[in-house]
Amino acid sequence: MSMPFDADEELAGAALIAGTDAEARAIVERLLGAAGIACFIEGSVVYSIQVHPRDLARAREILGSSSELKDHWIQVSAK
Amino acid sequence: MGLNREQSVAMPGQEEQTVDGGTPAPKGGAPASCNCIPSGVQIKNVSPYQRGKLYGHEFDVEVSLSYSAAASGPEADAQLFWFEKTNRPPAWQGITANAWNDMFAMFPGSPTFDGWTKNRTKPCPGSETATIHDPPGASVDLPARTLEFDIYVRGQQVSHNARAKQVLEPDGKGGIKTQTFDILPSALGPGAGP
Repeated sequence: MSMPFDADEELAGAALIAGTDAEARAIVERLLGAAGIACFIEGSVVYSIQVHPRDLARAREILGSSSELKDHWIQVSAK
Repeated sequence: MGLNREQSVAMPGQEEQTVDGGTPAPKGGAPASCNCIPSGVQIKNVSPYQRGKLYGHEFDVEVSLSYSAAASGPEADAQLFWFEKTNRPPAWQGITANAWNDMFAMFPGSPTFDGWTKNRTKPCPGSETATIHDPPGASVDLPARTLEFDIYVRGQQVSHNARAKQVLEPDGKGGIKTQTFDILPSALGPGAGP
C-alpha cells in the first residue's frame, strides 16, 4: 500500500479541535498547508491535528498564535 | 475558551448553587432538587461522508430523559459514559490502543458534548431528548482503523446503553476501500434495568 508517510514513522499531535467544528478544521488545513506542513486529521469526539515530528514545533507555533482560531475550541500540545 | 464544565447560578430563594455542565437553571418555582431518569439511548441518523481526505460517518446519540422533583437531597443528574476502543488512536489524545477509553471523562469540554453539557433545559417536572452529534473520521492517507463505541447513560435506578462499530480502510490510492458503521445490540439488553 502506498501511503504519503512512512508507516514506521510516528506522527506527532500538534493540537486538538472539536470533531464537529468544520470551520476550525478548514482553518487548520489552510494555515498548515500555506506553511508547507502536511497534516493528518482524524479522531472522534475530538480530532487530532497530526504532523510529521520534524514539523511539530512550527505547527504548534502557527496554530497557537492564530487569531483565526481564537474563538474555536482548540488545545495546542505543550512543548 | 469555554472549557469549564461548572458554573455557579443563583436559584430562587436559595444560596448560590453549582449546576453541572452550564445548563441554565430552572426558573420560577422549580424544585430545589430534581432527579433525572434516563429512559433510553439510541444511535440514529448514521450517514457516511467524505470531506477531502477525511472520511467516516456522522451519527446522533439520542438520550431520552425525564425529570421529577426529589423529596430531599441534592440534584441527581444522569451520568454519561462515552467509551471508545480503537486499534489506531490518533497522536496526542492520551488514548490507549485496544482498550476502552471514556471520551467524556477525558474531554468533557469538547463541543461534541454540548448536547449533554450545555443544551439540556432540564424541565422539572418534564422530559426532553438530549442529542449528541459525533462525526468520527480518519484520513485516507493513514492505515485502516476500527473504532468501537459503548455508550452508557446511568441514572440512580436504571441505565441504558448503545453500541456501534466503525471500520475505515483506505484503498492506498487516496480513496476508500471500506467504510462501514454497524449499530450493535445493547450490552444491557432490551428493557435494561438496574
